[in-house]
Amino acid sequence: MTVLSIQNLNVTFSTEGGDLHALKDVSFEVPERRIVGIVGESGCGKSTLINAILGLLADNGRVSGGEILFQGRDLGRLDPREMKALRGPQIATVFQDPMGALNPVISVGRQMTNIQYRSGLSKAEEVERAVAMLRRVRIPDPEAALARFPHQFSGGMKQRIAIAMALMMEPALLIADEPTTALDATLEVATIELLQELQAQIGCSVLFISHHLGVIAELCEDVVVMYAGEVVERGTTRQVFNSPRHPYTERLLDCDPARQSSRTRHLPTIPGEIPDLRARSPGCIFAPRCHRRAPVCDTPPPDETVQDGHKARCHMVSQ
Amino acid sequence: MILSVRDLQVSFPVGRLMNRSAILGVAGVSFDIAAGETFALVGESGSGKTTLARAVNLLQPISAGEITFDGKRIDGLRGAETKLLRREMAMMFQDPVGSLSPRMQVRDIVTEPFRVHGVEADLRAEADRLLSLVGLSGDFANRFPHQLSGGQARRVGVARAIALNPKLIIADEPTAGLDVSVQGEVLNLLNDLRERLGLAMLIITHNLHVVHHVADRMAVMYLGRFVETGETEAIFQAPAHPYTAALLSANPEPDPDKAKDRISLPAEVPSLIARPSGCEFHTRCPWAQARCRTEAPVAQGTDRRIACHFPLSPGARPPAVKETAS
Repeated sequence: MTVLSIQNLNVTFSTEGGDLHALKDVSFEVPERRIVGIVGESGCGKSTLINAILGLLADNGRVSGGEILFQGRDLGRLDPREMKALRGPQIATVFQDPMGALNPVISVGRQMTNIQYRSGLSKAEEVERAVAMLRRVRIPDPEAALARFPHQFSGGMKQRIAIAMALMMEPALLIADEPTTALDATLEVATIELLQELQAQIGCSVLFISHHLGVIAELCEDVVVMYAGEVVERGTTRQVFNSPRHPYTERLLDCDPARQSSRTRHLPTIPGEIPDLRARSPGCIFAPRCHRRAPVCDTPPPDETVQDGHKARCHMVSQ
Repeated sequence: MILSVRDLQVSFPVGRLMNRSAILGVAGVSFDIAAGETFALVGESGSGKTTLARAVNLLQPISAGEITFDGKRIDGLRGAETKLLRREMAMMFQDPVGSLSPRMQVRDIVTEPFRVHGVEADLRAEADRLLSLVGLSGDFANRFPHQLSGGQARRVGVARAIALNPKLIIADEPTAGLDVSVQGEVLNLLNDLRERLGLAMLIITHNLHVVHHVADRMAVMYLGRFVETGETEAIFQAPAHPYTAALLSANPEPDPDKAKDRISLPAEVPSLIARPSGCEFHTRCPWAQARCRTEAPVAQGTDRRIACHFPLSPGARPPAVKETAS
């Protein structure tokens, strides 16, 4: 079954300079028990997408088309109270900055029992569950950790506590927004391994957002590549990373210094800038920066199927 | 040598009145940077990279050691003398946008060093010259920092750093927070300027891929000490200190089929208040032996220095190999 299915999602923000079309015809699926990565650079619409899923778009933003189906229910049709009941128990999130997710003046134990207010468990059971969860994320001496405050933990431990809290209610979907970006390389790897392990134990799906291609390659089974508010390519991680078909994906992979195995003084870049989303051209959004641009690119590109499950929004796929 | 650092220590007081003590943020490091050379400091958060860079720039008082810049001892300089020094040694701070004053226009930001140091110049012409050096058009002169992208803000930071033709630039995490496509741009720019202006550079980063492509030599820091120093290429080919080997193997690569023979490091980083005995890395080292727990290793070698009793042979695997599922 599909846990999350996004169909032709459009999100628009009203701004002083006119309507800003932040997401355009975004479609992808997060199947059950699968880790799906979203990769894209600043301004590609990753955060807007998460906020749209969570029903937390800013006041000037609205879903202007399409559907967000969570376990078959259209989230756009839920009233705020129903949506609130889903956030946490069903759809949990982990953000980049663990310090921002934890309350600095409340002990970890109280925060972890407070968020179980809807579980109907007794106080003792709540504490027991918090301890068990801390143990699962490998916090040493979890009973004593309950009495401590967030600042008494290291950055890696704080992020693990945030992960423990997100997974405590065993949600169907975990949205992880750049959860390892603020961590060091060795901690990053440890956190990815932990996430993989917990995901298998709990059996949830994970939507993992990152701009770190290496982390996506390691953790995710499927990947969605976003550029300027559009899904330009999606498929299994192997399909997309080994045989990218959208020129943007190609260039992005080339840019990663990790792909240059031999030492080079001149690293590849993508010349040009992300276009102004207030005035989208009808053609391909990447065309102005594309090295394979052709006249046909001034017309809207189709979502071409490359292979089963591998799609790219580019005219050149069929040429 | 443009910069020579010998046995540098930086200590911070900790504790309250009755049980005062000090921790060593930088615990005795030595290195040299030649003119036109790029030297990288690598290590995890809290390893002392930024403290060391600040000490070299005299932003942080040192508790022991010597710093020689361009043939002159600088560690004892005070007041106006430090100001003179900073004309020759420029600093680029972390956070590309945050390190620019939000209420100043780009033109004023890049020419501020002239005003601070009282250097007579045609500021308008200088702003145009500096912006074109970093590849920004003159239109940017009138913008404010919030109107810049991360990469553009970084370029402005570079322009400000090179304003007074320094001999050395200290760049603290020059690519942190930038997208991969922009990272390349900034690194290419730094490489170009280094060649054109003959700058020496001290780059601080935790991104090893970046180090590989820009640095001639590198040092790996752990708990305020250098555990391995040497030519970047040689260290990447065959890391000899177990910590370096672990760091290099913990570098996720964008290839789903890459064999992942990773050296996983157990436990958290030890506290600087209670440093481990002997070799300070023994608490996390998969190769640790009895001698490592009692006896501190002394860095051996000249070009390549390794502070380890049992340096690794190329391609060594930990005794109990822990394979991670791919």
